[in-house]
Parts: sequence; C-alpha cells; structure tokens
Amino acid sequence: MNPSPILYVEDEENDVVFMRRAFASTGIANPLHVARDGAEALAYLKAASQAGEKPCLLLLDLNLPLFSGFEVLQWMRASSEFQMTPVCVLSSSDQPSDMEHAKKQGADDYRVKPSSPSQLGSLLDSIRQRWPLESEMKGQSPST
Amino acid sequence: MILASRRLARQRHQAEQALEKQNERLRLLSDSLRYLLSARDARKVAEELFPRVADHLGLDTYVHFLMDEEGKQLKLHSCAGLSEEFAQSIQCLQLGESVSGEVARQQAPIVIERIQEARDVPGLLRRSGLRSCACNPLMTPGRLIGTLAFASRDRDEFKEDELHFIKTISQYVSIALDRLQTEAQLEVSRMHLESEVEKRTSKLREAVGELEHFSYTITHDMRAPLRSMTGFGEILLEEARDQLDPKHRDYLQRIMKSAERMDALIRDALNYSKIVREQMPLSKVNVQMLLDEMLLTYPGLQPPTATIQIEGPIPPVLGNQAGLTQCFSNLLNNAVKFVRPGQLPQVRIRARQNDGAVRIWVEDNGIGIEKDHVGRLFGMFQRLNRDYEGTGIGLALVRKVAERMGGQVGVESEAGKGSRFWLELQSAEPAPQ
Repeated sequence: MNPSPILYVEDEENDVVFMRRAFASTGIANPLHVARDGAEALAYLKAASQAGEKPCLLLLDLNLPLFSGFEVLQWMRASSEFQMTPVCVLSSSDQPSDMEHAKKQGADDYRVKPSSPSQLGSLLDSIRQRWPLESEMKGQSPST
Repeated sequence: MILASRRLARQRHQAEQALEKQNERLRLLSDSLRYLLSARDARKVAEELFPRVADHLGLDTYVHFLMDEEGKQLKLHSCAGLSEEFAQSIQCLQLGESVSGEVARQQAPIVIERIQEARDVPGLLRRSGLRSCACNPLMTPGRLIGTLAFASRDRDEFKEDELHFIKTISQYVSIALDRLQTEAQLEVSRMHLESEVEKRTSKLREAVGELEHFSYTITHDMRAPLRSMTGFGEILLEEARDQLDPKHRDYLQRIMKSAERMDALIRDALNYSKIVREQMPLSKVNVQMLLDEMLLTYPGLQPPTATIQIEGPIPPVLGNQAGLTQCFSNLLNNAVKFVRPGQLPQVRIRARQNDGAVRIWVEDNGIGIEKDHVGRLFGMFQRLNRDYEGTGIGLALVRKVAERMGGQVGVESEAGKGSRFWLELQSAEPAPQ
C-alpha cells in the first residue's frame, strides 16, 4: 500500500522548490501534493475524499490567493471527512494574533517559516516526531 | 416740656426705625452678593432673590426678561404680581416695546411714577394696573443680558435711596448672570471639544491601525523573496561549488549575506514597531531563571562559542517577561559578537540592588567603544563599527523596551577594554528598611 499523500498549500513557487528538496533530503516517502491557492486546496480535498485518498497531513500557508489558509482550515473542521486530518500551519507570520487565530480555527500546530531554507530539514524532522510519516527505507518494504 | 420730650422720643424712634431699615438693606445687599457669587442656576436666582428684594422695598411686583440668543427679542424669564393673562401677553417683547423693551433698546434705566395719571405711558403698562415702575437693564460692558423691573400696584412713587438700591441689585444680578451664561457656554464648548477629540482620536486610531497592517503586510511580504535568494544561493553553492571559481563564489556569498542582512533589518524593524505599539504589562520577573533558560536555549551563547557566567543571585525585577527576553537577547548577542577575531567571548552577568532598583550588568571582554561614541550608542540605526554585521536597531530596541518598563540602560566602556552594559529596573522586592 502506497503511503498517504501530504498536501502542501503554498503560493510561493520558490518555497515549493525548497520544500521538495527538504522532503528528498529527509527521506520522507509520502508523496507531496501541492496546491497553489486556497481554492485549489479545497478542490484537491474534495476530489481526494471521493477517490478515498485522503492526505495524512496538511502543511498550510495562511496568506493565500482566493481562499486564505484560515478559510481552508474552517472548511476542513466543518466537514465530517477532514475534521480530524492533522494540519500544521507553516507561515512567515510570527504575530501572536495569527497564531491564536489559527489554533482557534483548529490548527494542530503552527510553525514559522525559517528565514533560511536550509533549516527546513530540521523543521520537517520535528514535524515527523509528532506525526509519524513514511520514510523511504520503510516505504520500500510494503507493510502488511 | 412734655410735648418736647414726646417729640424727641418720636424722633428717636423714627431714627431707630430708619437705622434698622438701613441695616436690613445692608444685610440684604451682602446676602445677595454672597448668594449671587455662589449661584449655579439663573432661575433659582430669580425665584429666591427677587421676592426678597420686592418684599424689603414693600413692592408687590417684579418682571425679569432675558435677551434671546440672537439678541433681537426679550423673553419673559420670571415675574410676580401680574395676572396670569397679562403675564401671558408679555412672554416676548421686541426691542422698544413697552417699558422693558425700551430699557433694552436704550440700555438705560427708566422710572415711571403715577402711571395711571401720566400721559405718554405705553398702553400695555397702563393695562397692567401698576402705579409705579422702575426698570433697569441687566448688562455687562458691551453686552445686554436682559432687564429687571420692580413695580407697585398701590405706591405712586419711589424714594431716591430705593431707586439706588434697585440699581445696585440689578448690577449684582448682571454680573452673576453673565458668569452663569459664560459658564454654560464654556460647558457646551467643552462637550463639543470632547466629542470632537473623541471623533478625531478614533479616526486617527483607525488610520494608524490600517497603516500598521499595511506596513506589517508589506515587510512580511518582503521577506519571501529574500528567503528565495538565500535558499537558491545555498543550493548553488552546494551543487555547483566545483564549477565556480573563488571570485564567483565570493560574489554569491555576498549576495546571500546581503539578503540575510536585509532580512535581519526587516525583522528588527518589525520587532521595534511591535514593541512601540504593543501593551507591556509589568509583573514580577525571575531574571535569574530567565537568564538560565536563555543560556540553555541559544547555542550562540554556549561553549565553545562563548562562555557566559552568571554571578548570582540576580534579584527579581518588575518588568515584562517578553520585553526582558528581548533586552537580554540583544545585550548578550552583542557581548559575544563584538570581540577581536579569534578571541573567545567571555561575559559576566551580575546584579546590584540599590534604593528599590536592580541594576544588572553585562560585562564583556570585547573590542569596547571609544568614549566619544558612547553617547550615540543607543540611537536608532547607529552602527559604530563597519567590520561587524548589524542593523543598528538592537540597542535602540533595548532602550525603548527598558523605558517602557520604567527602567534605564547605560554603558561604561573604553576602546580595547571591553564594555559594561547595564539595565536598571524597579525591584520586585520591597527595599530593606
């Protein structure tokens, strides 16, 4: 069985490049799906639920075109299917008001984007400690 | 003989009566003055003072008008001794109309005696049934406030001293009414001003809020491209290191350094504006614990990068946890940064309690500061050494935070001999007796 995908909602193209590299370097085997705005994220989630391929984790930026990260969160927490899906906000805002608001809307975690992308690896490592993800080594031997 | 002594007795009795009357008048005058000086309400003045004056003079009637706000008409304010129907007919007088109107027009007193027999008496006055009337303008220099008339239904004349008394009372009343009207106008102006200030403050607050949001968003968005510059620089340096000659590697590193500096500038500016606008509630802060935790958390403040020694105990202070963390973070990072190349930064932290204040010293073995420059050190964007990276905001931020916590910062230093920065705050413990 293939590991469940992780949905990364991020409009900043370069941040997506850095995240893909960090995924590769940390050896996370879960496929990374990218949605470039809030509307794309919602469309992906709806389609995924029909196909029975719900993501095991969302990495969610807040400042997004069309629907903001807050709105995506709100929609998920109101839907019966994504009520429990773990969401880790990944934003460059370190404003306590944003952090509080995200937690209130149902975010499970809030991480400030590191100022240097080379620190993304250790950020992913700590995320992994909270939500066990598939590693490439493990992914090669199919689980029973 | 008997006749003469009776006459004498009568004369003495009359003199005593006159004296008594005179005394009573003086008392009334001084009472009126005291009353008018402390009066807060124009209607009460009329209701309480005018009947007493009329009674003292043996008069049965008084009529008091006030000018309307436009200064064109007299409005009846209070009266006594007139029939209700007649009072109704004089609710409003034009300037020049009847006696009070004429007094207002001329701004001079008018006395009319033997009204019922006299010629050229206004019809209105004759119909009132009064026999004599003395009307005075109520005015201050340059401003007519109203009129005040005393009158009688059964007396044909006034005595000279009575007219003088009425005039004096009218002058007192003028001053009191002028004061009351001025106070009322002041109160209206004050209320207007207050609501105006409130309106403008709320508009200003709104504008500041919008501006803050705008500047926050824009500086926040400025950090994303910088992140990309640093990130791609790192990738290029990692993947194409061998293809780049040393000169081009240097260029690339300069680009990355500039991006990092720009990011530090934006971060510091954001921090500074946050400190300036956010609330900073004060409470007892355990500085010893705060410093211990900081030294454990930041690798840059630990061996082998630096040795920092806390020579405790550091007494608790009245401050703000987040603000103090910001202050010590900036002071300690400076202490380990400004050393000669190759030198191990050595920092000592100690405290002294004095007169309800705690002064905490951060002492380093760094390059020190030239005496001439010490005064500029805490200014915004002041960078005193171009060999060291910095935004010139760090110490300005420390000073701002210290001030917002009711404290002070300072430094003692000499070039080449290290620096001793201090932060002084209110002690959280009562001063020893």
